[in-house]
Amino acid sequence: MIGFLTGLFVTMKTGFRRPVTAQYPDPEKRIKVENRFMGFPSLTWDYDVEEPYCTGCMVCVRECPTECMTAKMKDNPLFSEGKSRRKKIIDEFEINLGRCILCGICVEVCNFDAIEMSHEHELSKRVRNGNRFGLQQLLKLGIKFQSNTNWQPKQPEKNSGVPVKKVDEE
Amino acid sequence: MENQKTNNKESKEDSDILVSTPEQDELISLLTKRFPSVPDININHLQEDIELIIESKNIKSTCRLLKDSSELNFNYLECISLVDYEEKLEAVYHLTSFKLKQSLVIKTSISVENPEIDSVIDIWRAADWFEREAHDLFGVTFLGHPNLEPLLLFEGFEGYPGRKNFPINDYKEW
Amino acid sequence: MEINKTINSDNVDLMINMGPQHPSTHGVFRLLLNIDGERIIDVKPHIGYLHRGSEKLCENERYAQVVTLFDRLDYVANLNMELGFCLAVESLMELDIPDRASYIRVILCELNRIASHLLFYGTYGLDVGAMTPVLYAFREREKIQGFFESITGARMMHNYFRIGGIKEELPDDFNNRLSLLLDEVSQGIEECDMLLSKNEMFLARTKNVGIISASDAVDFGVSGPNLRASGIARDIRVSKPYSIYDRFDYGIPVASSGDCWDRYYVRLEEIRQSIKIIKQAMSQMEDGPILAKVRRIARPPKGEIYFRTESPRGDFGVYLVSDGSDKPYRVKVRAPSFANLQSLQYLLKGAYIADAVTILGSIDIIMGEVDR
Ligand code: SF4
Ligand code: SF4
Repeated sequence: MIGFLTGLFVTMKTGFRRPVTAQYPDPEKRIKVENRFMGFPSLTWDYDVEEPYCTGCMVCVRECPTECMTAKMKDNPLFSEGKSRRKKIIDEFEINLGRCILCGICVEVCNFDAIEMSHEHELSKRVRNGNRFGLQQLLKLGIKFQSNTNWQPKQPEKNSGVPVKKVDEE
Repeated sequence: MENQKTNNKESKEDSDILVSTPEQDELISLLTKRFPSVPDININHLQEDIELIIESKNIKSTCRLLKDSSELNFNYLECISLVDYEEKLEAVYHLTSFKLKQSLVIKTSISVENPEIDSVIDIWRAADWFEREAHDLFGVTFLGHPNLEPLLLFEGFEGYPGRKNFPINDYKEW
Repeated sequence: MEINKTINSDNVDLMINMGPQHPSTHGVFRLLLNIDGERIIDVKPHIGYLHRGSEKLCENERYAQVVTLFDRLDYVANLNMELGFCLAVESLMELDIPDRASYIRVILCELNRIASHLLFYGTYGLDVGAMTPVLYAFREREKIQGFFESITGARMMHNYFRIGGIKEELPDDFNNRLSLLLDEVSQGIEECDMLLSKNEMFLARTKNVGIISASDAVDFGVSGPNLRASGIARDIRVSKPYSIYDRFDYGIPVASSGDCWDRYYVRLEEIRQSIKIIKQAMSQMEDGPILAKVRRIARPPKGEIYFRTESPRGDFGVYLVSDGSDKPYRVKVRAPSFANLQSLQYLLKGAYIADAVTILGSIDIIMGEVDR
């Protein structure tokens, strides 16, 4: 009997507490995601030269444990015009987010700050392959992430696309 | 494989990497005392645990001795693993003795053509599912096991997915 | 439930199919029960519904990628699984792990142990018919998961431990948040304890039910809290300390009778001990590097190792054979739930059908680990 009553006492006490429940579908009442939250991967956008950071080097493609990415590079037109430092630029990029396991390995191996785990985690689709994201969609995710979190590249000097003007230095 | 392993062992002993603890020495002396009668026993210590390499036909008698002798008393079977070395299969038994607080590894090779070995289920009941799993994935028949039905795979599965020659199906993008 | 009537000449046996879609089977686990009235005469467990061939997949992934597979073995104690694998590879490579990384690992693993035991506490309450505890347990567990999210970026599949250390430095407010969390959790545990442990109905359901004697437990290969509940004080953290577990002072809760209540209470007590470990680790932790000097693609030398760690469910062994390349030659996982679960077929014989759920719940299995 006593054990039963102590149990009831605990339940009673909780009645006077503020609820801890969050209402999921309601955008205001959700739990906020943490800064480091790893949502789906996204590609970042270099505002200085208006092109993606990604050069299509394929390192992430090789390291991805689920082999869910493909990438293809091309010569960068902006480089030949002298507007960018990137010789090569991404041409086609695809991540099958339905297969991605959100491990973050691609972010870790990328040397160009070009891929980031965004805070997006709700991407349900009505078709099985509806989450095969191409370059534009990934960039859109990335731009949203960048503006929401005020993202800065980790190695700004090395990875900036702004061309170094040799004339100025001399 | 066999040669490489012995080479490995020699080089390790040469460079004095392995320093056995007094407890391990004691276990080795106990083992050598215990096993003069069983032929083809090979005591080898690699990494941390002492390793006993025996012939597969001796597995049951050895295990029985290890468990029943009062000073050794290896009463806890931790794991039975199979490794596919293409030319042979190797069964690895990890035992622990709560009394000695020591662990022991028993290794025995099984031929690929005729993968059969005695079951140790009447020595440790823990062997039950480990052996069934090994039967599923590697096709090793454990003689004397009462029930070798598929455990992890479904009934009627073809092939032995644990073996090296079983292909990993490449994934096709939808 | 699907009911099959087979009529023998002298008595009528009922065969009941419990699972794989049954709320109390904790995943996809199927039991074929042969019953005579209320008594279970024969049991046939069926596993394998979640078999993904993790061990085989490991052979085709590089060492850094295998960590993600280990996350998915025991999906309630992911970090403990990662630790087991990373330590196995590290000791094969004879790496020295920086102290700070080890401390962070221990803190996170113990937190994960608490989260895992809390899940057990909640679902076990549900199994025996108490609805309330699960809400309390999940309230506390939620805090721990949120805390993990702030460190590792994920609530469950962290992929945070690396071969040689950890992925990234802790966030700035780590210490404050952790001490706050510990206070809240230890308070929550006391509440959970008051709520259920001494409840008369709970006692009636669990005391003297599903007894595993010490000798049987050893014979079945039972490990972890289940073994300690039977009176054998075996904990790898103490008997063969790995990582830095020898630097802390903590107790190993042991019970004597080996019934369901003991298995339950040993786990609750273990949560308290884990909090103790975390507190000590917090005070001992110093600044320093978090990753040993390793090449990015790990290539352990040729050799093999069997590394034991204590996961929340028992002895977690990783048998790793390396052929010197960047992918493991063979990985065999000794999953504690796998060995614990096989004792069920002996335990259930002669028990009441209502106790089947109680006993199964008290063993605390995770099917992801059983089936691999
Ligand atoms: S995201 Fe990074 S690693 Fe991947 S292709 Fe682009 S630049 Fe290379
Ligand atoms: S997060 Fe992991 S699974 Fe997803 S794309 Fe990156 S590397 Fe691949």
